Amino acid sequence: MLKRLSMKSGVTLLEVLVAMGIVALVVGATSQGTAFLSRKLVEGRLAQTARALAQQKLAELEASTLVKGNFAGDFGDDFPRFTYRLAVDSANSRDVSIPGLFDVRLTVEWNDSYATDSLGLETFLAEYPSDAETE
Amino acid sequence: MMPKRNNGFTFVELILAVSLSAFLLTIAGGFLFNMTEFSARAIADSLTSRQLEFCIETLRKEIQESRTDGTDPLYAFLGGDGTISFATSRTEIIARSEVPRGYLRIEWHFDEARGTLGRSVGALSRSDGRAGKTHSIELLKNIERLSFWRYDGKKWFPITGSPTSIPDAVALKLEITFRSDASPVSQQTFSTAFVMPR
Repeated sequence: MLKRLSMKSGVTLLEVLVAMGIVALVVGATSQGTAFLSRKLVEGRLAQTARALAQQKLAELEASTLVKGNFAGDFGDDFPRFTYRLAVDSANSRDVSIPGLFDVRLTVEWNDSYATDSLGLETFLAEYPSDAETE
Repeated sequence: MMPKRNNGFTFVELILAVSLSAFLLTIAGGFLFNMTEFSARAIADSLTSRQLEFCIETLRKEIQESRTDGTDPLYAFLGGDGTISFATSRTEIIARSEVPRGYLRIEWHFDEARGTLGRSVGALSRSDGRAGKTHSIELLKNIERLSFWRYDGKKWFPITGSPTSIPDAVALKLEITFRSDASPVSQQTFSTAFVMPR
């Protein structure tokens, strides 16, 4: 007499649920990765804008009559997230100020929905020559 | 007696599994679509961003090395609606093999119809006061508005109208508004400035 083997094919609901759980984990991890990359992209864009605005402010300072002091301001309606702080002081060497040379510290700050960040730079600028001096 | 077979699913198990699969596949499909969009956007952003940086750095160097002479119209620094033009003796970097040596006139020009920023360069010719045969290249696309501003040492003024000499400019600002969804920066408008040679 032939003995029929017991067959147990297919999967149980528990196995299906475990598989689904693993898929859900992978999808979750992928979404986290996408969110991270998206965030980095936005951060990069904001930093690029901040660099350009800092260059703009420096060009203004380089072409203006420099005044010592601390200043703060913004970059107009087109750049509502960005502000700047500026400190202009005499450039010193061994505690003696150098005439016509300024120590300029510029900080551009910005904020988005996640965080606030800033970009700082310090440089020396010479007083812009007047027309009489350039001629 | 036949042994009881236990293979396959019950109807309820099948319905549950199909529902869960459909739910997860919908979510996964959404993420995949978003990732594809994100990837395409990131590549386009990166390209535009590099082109923008290239334009800014080229402009900065060219303006610093421009030759301006208020008494000679040939060497005038001209500014107008979306246009600046200046003379230079710097070695041409973009179309070196095609452009003659010696003094050149370079023009950066915004084409409103095409939404592009182009750069033309040609030999400086006293006969017409402008560039002779020019070589042009489009450097930046998807621009909605572009304007140049001059700084007189106190305030910024937009440069408008036909190209004319701007002798009082001590700094120059470039302001670009990209078309929506094409901006490589945080918002649609991008702005930076350059000091004019003293």
